[in-house]
Amino acid sequence: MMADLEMLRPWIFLASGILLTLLISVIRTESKRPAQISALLTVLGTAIFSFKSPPSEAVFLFSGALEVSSLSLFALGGMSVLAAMFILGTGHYLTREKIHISDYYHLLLILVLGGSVLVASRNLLLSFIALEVMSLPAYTLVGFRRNDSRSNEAALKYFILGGAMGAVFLLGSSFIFGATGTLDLSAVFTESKGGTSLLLQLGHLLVVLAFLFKVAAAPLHFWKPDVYEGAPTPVTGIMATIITSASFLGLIRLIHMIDFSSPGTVGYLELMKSALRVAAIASLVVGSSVMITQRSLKRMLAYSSITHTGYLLLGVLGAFDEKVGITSVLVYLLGYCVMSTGAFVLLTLAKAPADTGTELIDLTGLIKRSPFLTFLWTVFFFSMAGMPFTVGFFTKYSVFMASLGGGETVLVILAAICTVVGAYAYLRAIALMTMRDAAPAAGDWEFSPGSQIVAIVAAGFVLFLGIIPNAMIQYLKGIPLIH
Amino acid sequence: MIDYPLLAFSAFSTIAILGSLMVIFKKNPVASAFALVAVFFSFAGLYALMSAHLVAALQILVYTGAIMVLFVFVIMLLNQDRPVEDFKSSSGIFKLLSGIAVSGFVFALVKVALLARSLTPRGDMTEEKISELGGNVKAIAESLFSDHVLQFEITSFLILAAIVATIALAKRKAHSGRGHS
Repeated sequence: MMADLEMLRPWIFLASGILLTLLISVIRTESKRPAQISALLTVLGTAIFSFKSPPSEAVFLFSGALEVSSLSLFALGGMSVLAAMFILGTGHYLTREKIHISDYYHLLLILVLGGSVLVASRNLLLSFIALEVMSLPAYTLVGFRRNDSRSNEAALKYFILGGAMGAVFLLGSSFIFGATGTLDLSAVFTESKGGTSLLLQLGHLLVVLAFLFKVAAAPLHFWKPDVYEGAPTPVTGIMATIITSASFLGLIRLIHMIDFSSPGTVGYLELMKSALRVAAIASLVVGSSVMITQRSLKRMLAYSSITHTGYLLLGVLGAFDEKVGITSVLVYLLGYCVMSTGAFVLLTLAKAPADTGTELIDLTGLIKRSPFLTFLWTVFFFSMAGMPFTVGFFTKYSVFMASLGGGETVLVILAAICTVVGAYAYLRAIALMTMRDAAPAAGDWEFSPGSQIVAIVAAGFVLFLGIIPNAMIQYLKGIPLIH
Repeated sequence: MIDYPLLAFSAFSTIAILGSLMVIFKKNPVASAFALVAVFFSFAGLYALMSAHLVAALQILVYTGAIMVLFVFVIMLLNQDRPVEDFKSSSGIFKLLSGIAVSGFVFALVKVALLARSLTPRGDMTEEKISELGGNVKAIAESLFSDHVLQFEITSFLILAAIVATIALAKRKAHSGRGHS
């Protein structure tokens, strides 16, 4: 039992930090600093604990409900680091927008806890609870911009649609229980070796559908641009990175609760693959074509993240091949999180008037006003477009190769075309910064040391991993998905 | 010879389905709320049929007792005594697509039901095992605090998040009401 508790150290540390942050924010109501520092120390400590001693092999705790493995600890550590970057880099935004800082940090930590348990969960009941623990703070944080009706509308929209999709997940789980008599993923896996009944297929499809909504794969993406635009910018960044990563890793785990390598499931494998193919194609086409028509920078990044969902689904399709595995998805998620963190932290610096949000026009002539910001934006835009020497190039390369390994040639060609279309939007933004004079209506950009440091670190990682990607790929290759 | 459990199952299911349709289609919110009470009661009946007596009792206590009272209370506070008239009509394509999706789903459900033929209980908690463990309450308690203790603990964080979220949103109203923050 003591050994088990030792395995759980990162989670216990995070949970204690959550309670401590709540306590501090109740006692020290007059100052905002203590809650921020407590939250920062909590996520940093959690990251250290989860990266320090990766287990040599996976351990299953709580009757097999929780998996402590290199994958779940990597996810927990990664999410903690991302949360630390957002806590460090976006404090000035919260002060400017008069957001309840202590509640904000408390909810952010609970979100990280939910996301990490979702990745580690091997039980449908625990997955559902973790999904809700992750989503409930997100619904609230989206509505934290007090007097903005768009923020309130986004929160309500996200809450209602998210609640409905939670119900779809539950319906799917109950079908799976009806078909197999268990909610344990390993037991379902064993049960499905002989083939899948129609009830099991229906339940599994519903569960996957709920997660495709969470990652906003088209045609379930309608909430994303509105919610991204209405949410406070740091929260948008947290949704784009932490929630997307947790949902994608949860999605892969739940897809592979069926044993697709056994001959009894060949028919269902084709059905599942074509469903994912449709979602990937729709996300790529909708994301990249609508992205080039946007005037709002935040909406452009929202559609950009829908495109990234499409690329990630290519990696998910490749992962059906046992030899390819989930490495390409992990590589893409890591690269995507680094560049999104940088981009959204930079976006918090825009002092846009609240009624319009940050528009592309605010970027015009930025090179004359702040060459340094222009450089950082260029790095992140280049990386999102997939230019060589940035991490974005290797992430795209790895999902394309994984997908080609799975025999999805047509899909990869289509994705390459969408990359070119998407690159136009990013290059246009860069051109606005460097080649145009500042438009009269262009908004100002704030200066904040914390965000500059975080953006520099993120840009450094984007370039470092883009030039020397081998270490990253080797490290991520050692993280398998355990059935 | 009448199959009483099947008869009760059909009756409760029919009430549940008709009730939930009424929840959606009734324009008076109070009527919708009371249709929901009927749905909750028939669910309790279904649970009792599956020998889950504790769940049936909790269903009535929590849902019909507590949650429905809150529902009706909120309706009273909102003072929405007129039927809602201005439902926006959605576009034809959306209606067509959702119609196809729903009918496809219902078709699949019917197919599954026809294939299953009879209702067989699943899972390792059979009636014999429950009575061996000493009844519903004891069996649930043991399972909750041994096999499912992690789910129990994570749920407490869910409730904590819900409390903080509620206070954060409510506090916001008080602030803007006073005109400063």
